[in-house]
Amino acid sequence: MTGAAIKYLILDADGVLTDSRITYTDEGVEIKSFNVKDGHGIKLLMRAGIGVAVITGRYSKALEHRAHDLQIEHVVQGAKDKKAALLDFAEEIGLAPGEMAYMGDDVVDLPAMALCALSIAPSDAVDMVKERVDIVTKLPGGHGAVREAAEILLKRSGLFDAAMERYVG
Amino acid sequence: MSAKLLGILFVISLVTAGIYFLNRDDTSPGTQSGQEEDEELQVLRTAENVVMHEKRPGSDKDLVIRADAVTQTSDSSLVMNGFTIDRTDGMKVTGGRAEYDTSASRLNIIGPVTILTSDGWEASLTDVVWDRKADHAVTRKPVTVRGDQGTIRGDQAEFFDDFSRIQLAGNVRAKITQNIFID
Repeated sequence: MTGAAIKYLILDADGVLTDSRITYTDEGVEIKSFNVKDGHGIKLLMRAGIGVAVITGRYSKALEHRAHDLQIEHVVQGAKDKKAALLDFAEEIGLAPGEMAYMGDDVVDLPAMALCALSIAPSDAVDMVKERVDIVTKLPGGHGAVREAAEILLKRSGLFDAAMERYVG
Repeated sequence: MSAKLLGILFVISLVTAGIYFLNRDDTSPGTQSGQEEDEELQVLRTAENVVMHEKRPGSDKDLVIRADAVTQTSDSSLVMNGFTIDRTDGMKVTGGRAEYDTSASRLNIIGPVTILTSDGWEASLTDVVWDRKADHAVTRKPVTVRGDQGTIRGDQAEFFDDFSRIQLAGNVRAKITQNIFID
């Protein structure tokens, strides 16, 4: 495999790690559902040496728990300006946005996406996003789109076979 | 290096490598899983694992260009996926994908892009347009340049003199790992 490698995948949360719905209990607590296959895709990336971070405009305890479960160290919540959040994060970890991929589903993600080396959207992203990204997954957000993106990144990096070795020998 | 000569070298490389050309719809590696921009490209011919040698008359800075896949989309346009350019003085450009306009000698490289200069600095970029005739490359997206002495960042950059000179602009800041101002 020739070509430079993606070192980090940045994920939006709502509409990417979850479907686009937000459910509230009577007490006003937000409930989010995450996809197990997405979670495993994230683990596969991290094991292969590709970092994963989440940048989201909202704040949610559920996301905090999910990130903790998956050992995602970097979760930026309440980021009203995702481009600024991305640049701050890149500087914090010592990488350039050009070494990162970004997966998002709505127009607020576009300025950050434009800075990254590779942009990905789930199949149910808004049209303006789908028209501008490098890759549109077959699956929708919250239903395996992140797993699909993870496998694309692993294949592009030539790491997919090694990542699968522990399962298929 | 003329566009014609590059075209000739390209053809010679294909022949000597014993690579055959195929007419097919789309060979982009990512399309099995997702929908990519390549789908709209007109494909004249494609080749895989291509190595191109570029001898520069009057210069000891020869180039070796390697690509996982090359697609010719018109008489003067090549798309290379997963490619590296190695120059004999140690300069190396690595990119995810590049579109080469042979008539204009302009290479549009998109990410991730890494430029290793001959004196050991490594620049990481999202994309860069390299005007080879003018010996000038430019990116309008954030750049990180790393070296033994530290890291310098900027919102955009220009490269001159065969990538030996980098000019960063916009919110430029440096993190120096040692005091380079004292001998």
